[in-house]
Amino acid sequence: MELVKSEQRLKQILVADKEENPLRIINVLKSDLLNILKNYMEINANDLDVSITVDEYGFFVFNSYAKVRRLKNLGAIVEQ
Amino acid sequence: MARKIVITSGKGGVGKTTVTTNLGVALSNMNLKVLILDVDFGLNNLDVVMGVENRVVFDVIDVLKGKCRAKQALIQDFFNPLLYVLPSVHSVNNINITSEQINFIISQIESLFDYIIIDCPAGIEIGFHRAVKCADEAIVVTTPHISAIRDADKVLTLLNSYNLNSVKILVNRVRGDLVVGGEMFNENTIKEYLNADLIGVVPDDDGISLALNVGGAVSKNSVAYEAFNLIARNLHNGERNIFDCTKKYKGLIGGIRKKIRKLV
Repeated sequence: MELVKSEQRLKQILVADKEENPLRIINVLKSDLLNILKNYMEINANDLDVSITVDEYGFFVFNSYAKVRRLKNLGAIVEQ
Repeated sequence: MARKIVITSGKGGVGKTTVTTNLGVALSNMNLKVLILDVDFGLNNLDVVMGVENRVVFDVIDVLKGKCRAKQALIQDFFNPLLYVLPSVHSVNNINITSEQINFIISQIESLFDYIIIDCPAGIEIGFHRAVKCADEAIVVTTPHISAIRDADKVLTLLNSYNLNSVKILVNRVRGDLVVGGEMFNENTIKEYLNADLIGVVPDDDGISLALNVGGAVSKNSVAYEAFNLIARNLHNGERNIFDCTKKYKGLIGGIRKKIRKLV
């Protein structure tokens, strides 16, 4: 029973820490996402919006919105 | 080219230097040439933990000042001829030392070794970043306590911004009797919360305290010795064997052991 309480406490602390400092995570995540997306489409850093929120159950909710100028040749990508 | 692994944690006192030392010893026992590099300037203790404090002639600063070559500053371990230490110093303003300077030292000697294990200072300030910048891989040490797990989580987030080949967690000081009794987090819970790969688990073992007082690695009879050997094999061979701290405390005899441990 004590461990269950401790686990809840740990979860709350980790969630609170991430809520406090999401900017750093978002910047890293955005940079990684951009690197991957650039393989498939023409996209600038300013056109990608990334956010992380926490829902009522303590789960992280990841949202991403991107304005894409042009998709790359999808046929060539599939062949690769 | 040596594999350069930084041992970090965020929180102080979780056993970074103990892990660094014993992992170095375990790897050298596998016939691998290992250098343990102390970049914890100002509050270094690696020389003491290794039991070589009386044999330090040159240190990192002497190498940086050109008083000696990096190779001359290396101290060969008394019991493990394949294990070397490059000590740090107490009396130095660590702000002035850059990761480029440490990397310069590493570049002079890395061809001599299979592994370079870097002992990182506690905290997430300049010393942490300097140590991480010198490494290709990281092991984040934590204990099964909320404060240590919380700091490990923060460190893992910071490590995301570095281009490291691998970041793993190591759970130190796990008490099998408490895990069996549901009074301590087990390694799987910690792994789940930190969302990171587990390289190994080290039990809370009196053998470690004894080794710290005498200097050097844990005794071959100690359970921690077995745990560090497993970690070294996981690291080098890519195995995934995790030491089971609870094994001793399962079953009838285990239950008696658990009760005795609680009483002591």
